[in-house]
Amino acid sequence: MKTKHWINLIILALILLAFPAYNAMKTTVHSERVWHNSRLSPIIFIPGSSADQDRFDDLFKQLRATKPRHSVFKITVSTTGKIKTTGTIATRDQEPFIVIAFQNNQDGYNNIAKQTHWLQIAITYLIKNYNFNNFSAVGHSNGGLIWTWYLEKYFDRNNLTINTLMTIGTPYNSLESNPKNQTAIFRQLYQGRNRLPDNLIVYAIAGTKNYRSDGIVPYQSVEAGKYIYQNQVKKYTQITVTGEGSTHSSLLDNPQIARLIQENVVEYLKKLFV
Amino acid sequence: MFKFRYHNFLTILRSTFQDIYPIILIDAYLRLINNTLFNPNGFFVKTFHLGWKYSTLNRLFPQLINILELLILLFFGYLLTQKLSQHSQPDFSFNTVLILIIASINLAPDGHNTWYQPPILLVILISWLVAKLFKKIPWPTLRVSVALIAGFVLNQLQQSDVLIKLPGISTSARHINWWALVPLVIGRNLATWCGLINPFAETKQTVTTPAATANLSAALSHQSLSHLPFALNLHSIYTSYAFLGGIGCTLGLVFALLIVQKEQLVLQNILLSSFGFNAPLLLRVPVLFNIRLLVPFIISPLVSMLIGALFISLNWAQPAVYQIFAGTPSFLINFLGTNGNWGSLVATLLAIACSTAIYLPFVKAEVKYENQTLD
Repeated sequence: MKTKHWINLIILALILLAFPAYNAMKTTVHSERVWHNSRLSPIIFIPGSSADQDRFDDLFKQLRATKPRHSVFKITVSTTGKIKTTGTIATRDQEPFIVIAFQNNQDGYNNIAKQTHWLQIAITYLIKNYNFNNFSAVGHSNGGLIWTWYLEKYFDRNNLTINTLMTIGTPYNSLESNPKNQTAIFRQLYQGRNRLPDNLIVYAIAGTKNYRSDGIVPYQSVEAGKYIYQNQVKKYTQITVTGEGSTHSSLLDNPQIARLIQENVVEYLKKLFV
Repeated sequence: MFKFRYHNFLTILRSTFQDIYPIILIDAYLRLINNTLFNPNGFFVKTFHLGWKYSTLNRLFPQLINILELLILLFFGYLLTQKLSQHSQPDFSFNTVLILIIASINLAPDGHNTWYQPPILLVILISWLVAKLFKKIPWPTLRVSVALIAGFVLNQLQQSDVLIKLPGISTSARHINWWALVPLVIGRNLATWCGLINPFAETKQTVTTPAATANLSAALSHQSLSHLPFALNLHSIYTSYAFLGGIGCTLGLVFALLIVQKEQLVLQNILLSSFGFNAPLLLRVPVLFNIRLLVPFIISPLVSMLIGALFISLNWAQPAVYQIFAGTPSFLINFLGTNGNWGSLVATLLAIACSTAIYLPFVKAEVKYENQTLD
């Protein structure tokens, strides 16, 4: 009798289980529908060390000169992980520009590790609020390191697709010009390289004022990106920009860079559907 | 004489299944926990919005379960040899274990070695051969040498896939071909019944076939299940209706056992079977190698699939399209897979009821036989 009592109890529990399961399924299907039908594919920018969320304003002026106009949405993540936003994403804008900056924007291995964690918080916030399933990324200077570390540590390829990544003057081997001297950040990124998404297209842009550096970042340090990305991602292209506006901090104002972003990142989706 | 020997062999097999039943039960509960709680898409994790923080356990648990299952099979071989050889030589069982261990090593080309799980039939065959043939080999050292060589030969056979290549069901077909599906369902159930496919793992209900993916895409775009491109496909019929309670639609068997008042057995298995884990039931009743339960074991999923197909064709039920949570209870597979279509729930419950009705007379015969044997 006691056994029968237990059996009845289990059957009852299983039947009751159907109600919360049905509710959970409804929520899942709803978010899957929104996710599936989302046409939003933002381009997310991360500035380098010591720069704030307005770092890309001049670049955006150049990029927004061509139609369609892209809305600009800026996020700053505080040291406690709180999010402050500026601007809006226009309803019909399928390719908005989003800047993710950090309150603690200092250089150094530990700071970059923290910034990578804050990037994860910002991306989670964006997906939750704007329901997109793919994006492209641009990182200036250390912004490129944060993107790379994020892709290796936090990026969930089952939920999200990254189309292209462009790093501009990114010091993959810190300020070291001799590739044999591996810095901590390089070792970190090199060790995790097999977790990079294999369908990603990467462009690494180096600026050179002379044959050795862009004034701050050694050319060899930008070039060290090949040890991380080559044979791990779908395409890895290295581009060198010289001449006027090719110093580290003026790279973002350089029309050549704006054109490279326009052709390889902004127009990526158009190319995809042609 | 032969009939007597065969009967004797089956009695020993049954009693060995009973010996390992408690560990099989533990293994099934561990699988249930892993599937529903340690999986980020697990049924309980999603249903009760549990924070998922078990990534390490999710990686480790399946490996531990695989090792546990290998140990269970080794122990099964050990016990079976002991019983078949009537405890004549203590080293016989050791030789069976030795052969099985060597045969189970899976040498991957990248040096990352894993363990291959031998099918129950192979364990039975080795145990029987060791028990019957090894007594003709005079010295223990020679017996160990023969065991080593036999293990090596089996390992080579296993590496070349000879033993595990069974006909599969093509998942690229967009429309259902009943003339191919029915024989293959019979073949698969028959292979499980005779121990060629181990029943430990649950059947995963994932949306991966082209037809199922096209249906999912259409359902998400149009936000309705009314005009799907491939309403009848392998996913909506085979994986959604042929495994209610695990392979052989054994949820019906559980209810049939409840009707004949095998309450202790039902209590131990009702939760597991509801979630699609029926290995303990298949070994304890037993269904495997039991000629009296072969017919319902094969017919039940076929009838269940027919009910599903009929309901979908007549538009009484919608086909399961959405990706359900890992470890969803069998009776909810279609209800949740259609995002709450009542017709599909009715079809599922009807399929379970029919399955119970199919199993019932055979279970009664089995109980009668058991009582006779006890007398």
